Amino acid sequence: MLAFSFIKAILLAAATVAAETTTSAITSATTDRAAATSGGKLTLQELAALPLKQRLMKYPWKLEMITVSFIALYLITFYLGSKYNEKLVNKFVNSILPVFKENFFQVGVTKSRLMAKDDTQHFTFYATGRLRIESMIAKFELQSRQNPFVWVMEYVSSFFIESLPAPEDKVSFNFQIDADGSSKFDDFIWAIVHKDHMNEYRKENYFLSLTKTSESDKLPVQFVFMNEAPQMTSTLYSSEFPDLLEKCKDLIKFFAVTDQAEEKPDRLSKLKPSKRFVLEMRVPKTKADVAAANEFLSFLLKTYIDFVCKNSAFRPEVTRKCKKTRESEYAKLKKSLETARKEDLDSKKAEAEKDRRAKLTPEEQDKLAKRQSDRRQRRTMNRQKVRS
Amino acid sequence: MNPAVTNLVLMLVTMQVSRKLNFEDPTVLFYVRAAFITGTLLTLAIYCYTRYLITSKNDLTTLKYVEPPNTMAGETESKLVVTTVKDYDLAQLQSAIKGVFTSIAMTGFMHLYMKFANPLVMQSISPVKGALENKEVQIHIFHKAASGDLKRPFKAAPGLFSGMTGQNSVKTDKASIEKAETSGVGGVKEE
Repeated sequence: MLAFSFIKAILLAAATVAAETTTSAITSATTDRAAATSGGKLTLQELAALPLKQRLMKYPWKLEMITVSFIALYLITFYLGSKYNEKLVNKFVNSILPVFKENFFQVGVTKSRLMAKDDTQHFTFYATGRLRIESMIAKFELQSRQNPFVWVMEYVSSFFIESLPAPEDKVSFNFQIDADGSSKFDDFIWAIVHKDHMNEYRKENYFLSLTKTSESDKLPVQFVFMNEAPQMTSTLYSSEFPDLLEKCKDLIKFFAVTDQAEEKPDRLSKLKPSKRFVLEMRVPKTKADVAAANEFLSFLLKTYIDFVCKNSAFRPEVTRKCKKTRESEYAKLKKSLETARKEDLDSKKAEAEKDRRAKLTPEEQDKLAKRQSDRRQRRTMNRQKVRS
Repeated sequence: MNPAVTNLVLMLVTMQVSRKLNFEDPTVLFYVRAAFITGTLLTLAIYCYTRYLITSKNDLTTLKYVEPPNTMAGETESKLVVTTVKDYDLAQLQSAIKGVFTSIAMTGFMHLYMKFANPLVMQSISPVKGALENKEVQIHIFHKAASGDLKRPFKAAPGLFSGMTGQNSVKTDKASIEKAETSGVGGVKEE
């Protein structure tokens, strides 16, 4: 869409510039007729008199040539960039396909299509039909290689502006647990997060901002735990993790088991727990990275998700702690909603009052104003009385 | 000695010196310009070397602190920052490097557009002094222990406007960290 509008803008600009140059060339020719005829330029009348073929040959085509070549260059880079993005996603998805086929009944957005291409840098991969998992959605977000101007701009601005992250190829897997699976284990948030940019992850993900960050010797040095209670780790951190994380240490951004949303809830209904496993990572490019990502995903699907469903019922004090967090979040949201509602009501009331007054006849308005000023006077007099 | 005091002394001295100099003389002007460029390059070299030291040390110890709300941006709640020592150091250094570029732009504007040469004298010494006094440089190049004044997160020197912007210091005590840590302020999507 962006690319299309960009091309349109270029075409429009080129057209106007071309029109201006022709007219200016022609007017300059008319003002200096003698020089023009001797120098090979033509006056307007002479140009009009020529047959079409000669007219086309006499016309200076330089600007059009530059414009067209520029558009061609743009189209070529667009084609190459989007093809590269597609290749990157396809390569990765094809490598993880066997694991998903083994686990899910339907792999792909429809029965015949594997992936949905949202645009040249966003792709979605979907699977459904597995015990305990309602659905799996993987969202790819790639660099804007299809538009080199935007791409370069993103890099430059990310260098100078702190809040803008550098462009990067990333994918987030979201395994939504179904009602049956969810009923088997407690509500909790437990995550392993890469230390680079962990503050941003806490800022972007509501559920991570409810947790405590803690370092641990059990983890590779690049990672931290973010969980609601440290006691969870002994249950949830299974023995396969250290090895897998070591292999994926440059790949994984975070892996989380959560029942809370990514976006900060603005309605009470959004606070309702909905359990899911989230894995956010860079899109692997090298062979070793693809293999490592594949290994991690197959570990999740083959053992870990079922393991969590079966084993994560915690001791009462841990559960109580988690429950308390949710309750206090509920209370906070309820309070803020109520104040917002009250403010809205008050402003509506004030507006209605204003409307009512505007509709009154002039005499009534005068009376009202007089009554108000009387009241004010009385009040100030009372105050003075108290003081003296 | 207090860097603010030495800065003031330095400023007064350079002002006196630049009053004595004849900037109409092309040779003097050349040397002043050369001094400014050398000073700036030296400053950048110091910072870049420190950056190299930080990345090669790769200290991934986590660091938690509570940042005061930015009242200018209309924030009301203080927020927790969870980062690593390496990332914190790099961010501090990045802001110092940005400062060097801002001062280059300012001096360049004053010299090239308004034709003042006095700031060049001052700006050839004070960035180098600033770089050597920078806390990151002190820690990584001079190998001073990261404690006391150099304990991360650094306390900002009380500035001119610290009274105006309210409480302007980071907190590291356990209670305020714990309170801010699980406050659920993340995930606010702005469209």
